[in-house]
Parts: sequence; C-alpha cells; structure tokens
Amino acid sequence: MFKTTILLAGVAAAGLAGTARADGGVEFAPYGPGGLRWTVSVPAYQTPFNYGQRTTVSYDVPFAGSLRPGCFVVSPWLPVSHGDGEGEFIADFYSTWEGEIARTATPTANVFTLQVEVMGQSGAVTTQRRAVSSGVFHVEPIYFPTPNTTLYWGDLDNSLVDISVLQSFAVHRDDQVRVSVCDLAAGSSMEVRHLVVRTIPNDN
Amino acid sequence: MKRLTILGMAGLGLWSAPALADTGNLLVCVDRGFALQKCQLRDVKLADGIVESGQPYEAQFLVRYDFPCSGHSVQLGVQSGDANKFFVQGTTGALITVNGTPELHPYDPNPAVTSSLTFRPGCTLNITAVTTLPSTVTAQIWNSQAETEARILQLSVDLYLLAKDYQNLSSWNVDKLNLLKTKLETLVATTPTNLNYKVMLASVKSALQNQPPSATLDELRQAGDDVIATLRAELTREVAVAQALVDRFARWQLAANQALNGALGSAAGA
Repeated sequence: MFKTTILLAGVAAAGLAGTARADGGVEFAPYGPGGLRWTVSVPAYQTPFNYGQRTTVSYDVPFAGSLRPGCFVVSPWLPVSHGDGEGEFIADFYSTWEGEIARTATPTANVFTLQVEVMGQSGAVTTQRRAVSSGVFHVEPIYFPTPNTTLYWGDLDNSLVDISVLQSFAVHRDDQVRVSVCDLAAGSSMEVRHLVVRTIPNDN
Repeated sequence: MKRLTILGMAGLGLWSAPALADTGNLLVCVDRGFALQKCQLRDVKLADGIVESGQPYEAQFLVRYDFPCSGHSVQLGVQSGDANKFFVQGTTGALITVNGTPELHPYDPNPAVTSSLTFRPGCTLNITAVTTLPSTVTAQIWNSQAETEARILQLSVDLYLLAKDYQNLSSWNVDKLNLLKTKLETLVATTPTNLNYKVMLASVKSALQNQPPSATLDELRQAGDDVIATLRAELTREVAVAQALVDRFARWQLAANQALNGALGSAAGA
C-alpha cells in the first residue's frame, strides 16, 4: 500500500465529472450511528479499459494470459456528509487466479489492486492502494509443469457476508470518495458485482 | 339589542379557522444525483397564534404534511413556543396536532445532525395545510368568561328593570331594594355631585324603612330618569361585551355559551 497526494486542477469540474445521476447503480443505506453504506453496481461503473463485459449483475473480466493494467472498474465520487470518521471499501467479487510458483516458495502473487481516492474540500486527492495477494485465495496445486515449479489454481468469493478483503481509510466532512479495482494479473479472471463503501463518523 | 344578537349568531359558519396553503418543500438539500445531503429545514411562519382583544390564547394547530423521505432517520417537526411534535418520516397526507400559544414554525432540534445525514432522491417535506383551533383549555377559559359575563349582564338587566320601576318602590321586597341601594351607593360614591343619585338613594332607604320618600314626585321622577339613563348606558356596554364573546365563539366555530345567550336574550327584552 502506498499513498500519493495529487492536487487536481479544476477541482469543481473534476468533482462533478464523476457524479452519478439518479438513474441507477448507486444505492445507499444508513450504516451504524450516522454512517452510510454506499453500494455501487454495474449501471454506475466506469470501465475505461473495456477489458470485460457488463452483465446484469457484474462486470466480468475473463481469464487472460497477460496483465490488465489500470483501474478497470471505477465508482462515481461518493460524498461524505458526516464528520471525521472511518471508511471501508469492500469489493464484492468473484476472482480466479492461476500461477506457476517455485516449489520451495509459498503460492503468493499479486492478483489485483484495490484503490481508494479521497478528495478533500480543497480538491486535494489522497490515493491509497492495496494489492490483493493470492495468499487470501483458496489455492490448490494443479500439477507440476517443471521439476522445480507447481501450477496453482485458486479462487476467492468476497462479499459483505464473507469479507476476506477490505481496505480501510480515513474520511472528513465533505470529502468525496472514489473506489476502483485495478491491475488484474496475468492468469486471472474477475467478476465485480458491487463496490461497497461504508463510512461512519467518529463522534457517534 | 335583539338585532345585535341575531347578527352575531349569523356569523356562525361564515368565519373559518385560519388555514395555511401548501408551503412547498421545506427541506433544502444539496442534490448529489443519487442522494440528497446537507439538508436544512427552511423556516417559515406556518400559522399565527390566537390573539383575541390583545390577549393570547392557547391554540390547537392541526398540521397536514407529506414527508416521503428515506435514507437516514431524521427528527423534524413543528413548534409553537416550548411545545413541539415530530413528523413521521416516510408518510404522505399525515396529520399531527400540537397545542401552543405563539405562532407555529417548522422545528429541527439539531440542524447540525440533519446537515450530516443523507436521503434518497425525492425526499421532500411539504406542509400542505395548517388549521388553527382554540385548544380545549382555551375553550374552557372562554366558557368561563362567558358565564361570568352572563352573570354581570343579568345583574345589569335586573338593575335596569328595577330602576325603570322606581315609582313602585313601596311595593318592592327588601332584596330588590337592597340591590338598588347598593348600586346607588356606588353611583353616589363615584359621582358625588349628581344630586339625582342622592335623591333616589334617599328614596330607596326610606322605602326600606317603610317611610314615604322625602322628595317631591317631580324630584323623584327626575332622579329616576337620570338613574335609568345611567343604568341603560351600563347595560348597553355590557351587551356589547357579551356580544363580542358570542361573536368569538362563532368566529372559532365553537358552540355558543347558553348562559350568555340567555342573558343577551333578557337584555334584548329589557
């Protein structure tokens, strides 16, 4: 995980550009005392790279032998109206991964990256990224392509009822939050069902 | 006087309790497209309090509203002085009542919290009608005032009728004589230069002692006419006060007080 701060030019324009209208794809529900849980679904996804296909329930990026760089599913900017507090990004997805790993090594490789951007009132954007490793996948050896390597296959179903991958961040009043799924590794596939962001104020 | 009473009663049904038209949306929010945030409750005067003859009285405000909001829960309502009632979120065509004396306004107990909440698109708060009625307590006060005024008016009628019959003082009973004597003593005390009051008082005292009056018939007639005119003026004033109370009942669509109506009927016949 690393953090970058970027000052955007044309703050207002940038802030509004990603604001979804009330035509579906963004829902919310009260969460805890004074908090909010946003659920972004397919109609509101921005998919700038067209690596996959939209279905009624998910954005599906098929298996490929090469890296799909960049953030390929991006939410609209989601406004935080409450006071300073904590936020969590939970991607609701199903992903598969396979990779050839040295026999003496543990089967861990970065499969994709979760990204959270928080834009303050001034327009300054803080970006946090978290690489999701195959270490959290349910992995099993398939066969031994060479005497020194093992081909592993694994999958992971992450949802609100069974959270394996979660990214935490801090929020302040009038921040806007945008979340993304990025950089899908070679040998992987992914169905992104929802992007869930929940925030809660500290003073409740 | 009968005419006055009839005119007052004719007002029943022509007046209606003051009502407020639709306020429009009172919840002013920032529209995020998929949500409404930073909402503030707009302040408007929803209804005046009840003020009659410069005196404020407790009102019962009937507030009809639409509040089709979902998302966060929020407490918003109406307030009159220290009294307040909250709307039920997510309802349309609902009604709440609140009793209070000053004018009625929208009420947000915690605007900072409201501003931090999020609502789904389409969230509005409209007050579609406010009806103002006298509260039960006010109706009781007005009835009590009416009964007191009925007694005062009846006494005024009795005194006037007695004074009109001054030539038959000798045939009156002691109670009647004492009633007029007390009134004449008050008149003499407040207007000591009026000799007619003194003549009539002396005549009443003589009658109480079964003595013939010391005044001549002319003096007695002149004194009687003066006292009658004074009591007639007092009666007219009390009728006006009573009529105003009857009009107030009619204006607020309350049943008129029977005792006061009866006293006004007596006055009309006097």
